[in-house]
Amino acid sequence: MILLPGPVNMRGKIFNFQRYAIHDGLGIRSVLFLYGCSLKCAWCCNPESFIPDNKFIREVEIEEVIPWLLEDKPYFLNSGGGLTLSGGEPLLQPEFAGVLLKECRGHGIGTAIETCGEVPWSNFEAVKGLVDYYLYDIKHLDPDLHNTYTGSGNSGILQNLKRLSLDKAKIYLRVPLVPGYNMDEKQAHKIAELAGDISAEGINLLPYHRFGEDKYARLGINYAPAGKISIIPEADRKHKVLEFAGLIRLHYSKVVIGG
Amino acid sequence: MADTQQGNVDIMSENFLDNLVLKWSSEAELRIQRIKKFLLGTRIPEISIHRARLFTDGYRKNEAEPAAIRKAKAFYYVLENIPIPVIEDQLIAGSAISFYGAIEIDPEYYTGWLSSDSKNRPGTQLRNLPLRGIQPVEISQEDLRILEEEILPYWKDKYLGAYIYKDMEASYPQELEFINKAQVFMTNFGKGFSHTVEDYNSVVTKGLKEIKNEIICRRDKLAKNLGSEKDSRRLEMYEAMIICAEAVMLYARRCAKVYEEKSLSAAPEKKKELMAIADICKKVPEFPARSWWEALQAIHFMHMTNFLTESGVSHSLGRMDYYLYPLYKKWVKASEEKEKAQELLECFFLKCYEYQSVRDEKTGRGLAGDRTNDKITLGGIDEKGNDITNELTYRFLEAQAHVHLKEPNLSLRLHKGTPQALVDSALEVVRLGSGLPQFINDDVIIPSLVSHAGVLLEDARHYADLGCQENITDPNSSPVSADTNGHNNAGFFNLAKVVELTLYNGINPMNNAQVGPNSGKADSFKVMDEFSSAFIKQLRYAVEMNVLMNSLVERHFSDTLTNPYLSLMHPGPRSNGFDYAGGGCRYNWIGAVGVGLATAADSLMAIEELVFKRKSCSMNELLLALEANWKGFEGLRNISLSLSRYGASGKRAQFWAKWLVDNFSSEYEKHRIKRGDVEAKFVIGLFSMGIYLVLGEDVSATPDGRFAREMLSGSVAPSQYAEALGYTATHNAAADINTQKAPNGIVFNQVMPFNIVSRHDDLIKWGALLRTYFELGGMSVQYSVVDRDELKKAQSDPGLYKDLIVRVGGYSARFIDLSKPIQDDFIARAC
Repeated sequence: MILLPGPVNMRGKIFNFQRYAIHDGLGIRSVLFLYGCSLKCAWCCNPESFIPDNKFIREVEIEEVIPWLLEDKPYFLNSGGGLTLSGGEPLLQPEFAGVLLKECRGHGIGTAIETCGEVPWSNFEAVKGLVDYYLYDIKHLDPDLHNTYTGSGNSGILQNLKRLSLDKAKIYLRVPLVPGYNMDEKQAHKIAELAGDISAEGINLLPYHRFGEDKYARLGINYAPAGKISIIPEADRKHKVLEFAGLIRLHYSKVVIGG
Repeated sequence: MADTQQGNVDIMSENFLDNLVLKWSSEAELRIQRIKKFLLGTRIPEISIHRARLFTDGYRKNEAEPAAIRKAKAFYYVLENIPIPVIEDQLIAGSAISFYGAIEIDPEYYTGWLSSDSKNRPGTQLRNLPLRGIQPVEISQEDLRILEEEILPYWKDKYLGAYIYKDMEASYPQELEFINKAQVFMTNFGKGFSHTVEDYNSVVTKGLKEIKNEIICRRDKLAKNLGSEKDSRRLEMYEAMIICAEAVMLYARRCAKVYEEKSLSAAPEKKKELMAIADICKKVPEFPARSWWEALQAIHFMHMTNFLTESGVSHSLGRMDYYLYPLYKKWVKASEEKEKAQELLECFFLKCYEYQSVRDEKTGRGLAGDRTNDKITLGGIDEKGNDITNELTYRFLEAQAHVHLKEPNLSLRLHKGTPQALVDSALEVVRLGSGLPQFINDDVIIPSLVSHAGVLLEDARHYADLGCQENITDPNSSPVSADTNGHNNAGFFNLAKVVELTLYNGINPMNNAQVGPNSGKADSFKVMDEFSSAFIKQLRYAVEMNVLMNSLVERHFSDTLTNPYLSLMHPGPRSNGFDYAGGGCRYNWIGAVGVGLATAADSLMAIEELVFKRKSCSMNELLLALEANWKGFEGLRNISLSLSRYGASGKRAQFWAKWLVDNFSSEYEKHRIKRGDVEAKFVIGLFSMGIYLVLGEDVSATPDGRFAREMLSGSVAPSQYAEALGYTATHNAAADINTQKAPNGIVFNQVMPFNIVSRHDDLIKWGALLRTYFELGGMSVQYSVVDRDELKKAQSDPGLYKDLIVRVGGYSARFIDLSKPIQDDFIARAC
């Protein structure tokens, strides 16, 4: 099953694997969620991606993962799908990611990475040429606000994004829409501008949801972000998202609501 | 029918529902919705004894006649006298019931179970009809009295089951013991002959009078050369078919009269409509249909009278988009004609929702919510292998979108060359939530019919499916009018029960009766092979018992009760004079139906793993655990539950599922029974409707971790204990079970929350899932898209929604695992 010459004894830390993922890139995909994250976003819906020693974390060998993917290869081929590495931040495990993606290439399986961008550039180098496209998260374009809500500034993120763009990588920007944080006119304008600058393939707007709340409870921790983030009443939600999409569309047309 | 080839189909692939012929606000569609509201608004159904009384009187009056003629005369008496109800607005006349809200009784089949004691309350099942939880049916005191004092006593020793039980008591006591005590399969003789596709097209194109004249010619010719006793039976059958044809023509004329009388007092515009209906009822089915309206009316007459005569269910309509297309095309040119044609088609759809039958307690619970499963099959290829999609295919999809009921049941045949626009349009309709159309795979079913049912390729290409997903040839579409008696339910067969009998050496632990052969004490087996050999012994014996039962069922259907109406409506019997159930059709087989595949497969896998591979326990310990219903053996149960299952990438479980299908098929395919001069072979199918719930009640704890009396797995879906790995895992499992061995059909149900199919690109991916699954060998699939209301039901009754997965980008969960507030949030998103 393993195509690379020599022994491949590469272990990765993951916390989930999902099949028939249809909102995580093009076509029908399987998503491997890698453990560990370089940001700590206040609204994170995957707390098991960063909480140490939680019960969802497990180590897997590349050899284990490939058969999981091959089970769905016919669906990938017929739909233009493949594997999406997500997390957490998948590029915190660059060697594992690199070998896995290379295996996918060998097996004719499409590849994508969803990244927050907050990793050293060398980590991107480790997967260079092995990724069909990036799903690149943009949380906020103001460095201070970025820092307040994610625990880190955005300069490295934007720098990596520019370098990827210069490398002619295909990039989709993914913007989590967090009420009271990044859903204003100024952000819309700046995000549209950024998409134009880096010749993005498109922008995906991801409306904020509360599906992660249960997980916090099950992991035995308080769901802190509820206090920080203003919840839009249900009736207005759709309208607000459409409004934001409209604002972006004034400057940049390829906007999709949802992953 | 050369001009049914693909026409110019002006269909938008992306937004079928935005480009329908009938707008929701149109007068025509408002009419349709009024009729629908009326039908759904009918209160709790009520027993009608009209048909029962008329049929009984007619049968009694003609005691001296030969069986076929006697039955035909009784049919005539029914159709001559049964009241004709009318729905304001409905453009198609005639009904299989005598008033709206009625359920007619067929005493020649129902007497046994109606007279038997209720399992739940004191008194007979008849007396308990209004009290039962599932499908309660009202009955007036007077009707109850007439049934109990006059009708049922007459049938006491004459209903179908009485003959079968009498034969068994006299000649097959051991088999009878098995049927009564083994709980491996259900009996299949509590209702009229079911699962047919009749030859409506001949009535549409020739008219019934012409058909009758052809039969008269054959009768007269035979009368001059009468030879054997067999010829006498044929002569009687010809005579009986002629009577049946006359009976339907009489009923149509009675309808004309009813509508004429109604028109007398109607307002001018309404008067015109009623007179038009009356006029049509004078023309069809007697004469060839000259218009789309007449064609639909003719088909409806033949369809509804089937229920009033032979009764039964799943009398399906075949490939209507194919055989009706020439007529549709001829009649429909201008756009207003298209609208009228659509209105009529939707009226026809609503007509299919009028009839329902009543079932015994156990079947009724298993088939809760089911009506007749009369199917219309759309799409697919013709005898030469060309795609047949045409404008009418889309109009049927439109009718489903508008009418949106469970009947008629609808399936869409797909093959590699099916236009993507058709798949996308159908998915848009499925997304509305009715679960229809079901998708079925030409590339599996056609070779399956050829290799396992012995059908010629060109006839197999004109298959239609019926009921759940049973496949037979369609005499309406086949250029040689190839008809089939596929007797498609040999009695639901419980595969998990066979695992249980193997564990207990042929003893049924639910009643401690030794019902199966001694296949060896399970705790003496040293290797898995010994267990699987013992399983085959139990399976073989149970299959033999089922075959014997069916040979009696078939004999009494053909010789004792006979089927003159079904014979009239099938080209073979009409031509050769042999009964439909007596070998008259071109193709003859019997369809067995396996239930609980995943439960059985996971159980075999668990035995192999726990006892023989991992040695987590001895066979004896496993037996103790099962006898204790896992109480005190929770640790062992947890190990069992942790094993990889069918439908969740479990390789060994998948192996055993395939092994089960192979052996179920090969054991049945060894058997043939006689239908007159021809032989009927047994073939298998795998579907369960809701029967997996009630068959589960017959099975004690199983090695897969299931508790005693819990439900089995449904159709070919994973069990409730399988880890939910997503749609590709379940589809892979259902595709990889040697589906071609099951020409009697496979059902595969999948629940999809609305939010993963709501966007256009979701729909494209869904289409790719479906196409890939079919490329991998899947035979059929039915998607239930759940909406807000369904999700709410899942909240209050989570046990029934264990496989409901909700998804957003990067996160998914079982719906029932979410807390109430989060569920509420999700529900808000689901619409």
